[in-house]
Amino acid sequence: MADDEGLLSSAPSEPVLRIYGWSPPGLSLGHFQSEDDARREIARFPGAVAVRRPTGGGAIYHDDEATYALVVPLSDPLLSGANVRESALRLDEPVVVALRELGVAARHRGGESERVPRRREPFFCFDRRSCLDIVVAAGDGRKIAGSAQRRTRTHLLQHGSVLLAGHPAIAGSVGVNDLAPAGARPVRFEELARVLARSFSSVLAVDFESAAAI
Amino acid sequence: MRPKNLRYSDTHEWVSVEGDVATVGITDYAVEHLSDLVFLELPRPGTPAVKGKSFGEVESVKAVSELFSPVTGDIVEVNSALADDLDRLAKDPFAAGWLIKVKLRDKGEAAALKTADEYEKILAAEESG
Repeated sequence: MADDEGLLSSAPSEPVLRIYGWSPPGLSLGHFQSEDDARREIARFPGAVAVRRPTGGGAIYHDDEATYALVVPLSDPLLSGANVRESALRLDEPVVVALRELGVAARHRGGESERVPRRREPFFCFDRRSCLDIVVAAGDGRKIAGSAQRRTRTHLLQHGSVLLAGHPAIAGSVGVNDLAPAGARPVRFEELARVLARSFSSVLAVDFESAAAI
Repeated sequence: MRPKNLRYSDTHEWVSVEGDVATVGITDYAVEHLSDLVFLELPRPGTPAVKGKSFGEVESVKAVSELFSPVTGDIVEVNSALADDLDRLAKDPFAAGWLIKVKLRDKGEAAALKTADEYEKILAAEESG
């Protein structure tokens, strides 16, 4: 995630996309989250390394998932006429499309975001509810992907996490493989990453040049 | 129409000057653009403010955004009550929602910022672009 912050600081002239996994697993804190809360919660995730994101939102446990980082100049036509909320929806529409390609009927939650006093907000991103969450279309509205931004004067960084498996300690989370029929071949990180990369290119109509093989 | 007695920056801050102290806030356009404010981090009094540099951060439901100082000087007062009442910023950004007060190094600096009419033109260009 330090690389993502470096990418944002480098102020690229065109959108840049990174997709990556975690080894060992990580617990990323939102920019303003308390380290005291993190110290208490990380005990539930043995072996995980705690890091702080430059982007907002709640904590995310990164293990059986794919993380994306998308840096876009604020002047890019992709963001034309969009406020922060609209830009977030626009930029993670590719995740909805990718999940559907993998057989998951996903959608943005919609409606109004919950306005919860900060001190009562759930620690984990996937336990929070926002109109911008990506949830399973049918069922109890559990979250399968989340995102958050950081904005500078000239660029934005959007982070997202797309789950292959939920975690029992994070009741609001569900992953692609949790929803698969019994006996189905599990989706692995490499396949999710490829589908995401293809979807970002086609939905955003950006020809991302591949700098590394997935 | 935004208050005509204020000056504006192209990063959507406003400034009001009394003597050698400037009061700084963000405009209604900035508040609307961010939407759903959830957290505000402001500096301590005594911190320097530098024109064009970040003096704090605001978090909306989806984004952390920097706040940029339109003037240079020393921050002498901070609206710390806002952190617990962000509705005040959302509802009254030009008065009760002020963010910091800066003792100016150059009393004439704010006069170089945009007038209300000039700021409206900037917004019109952003919205049509």
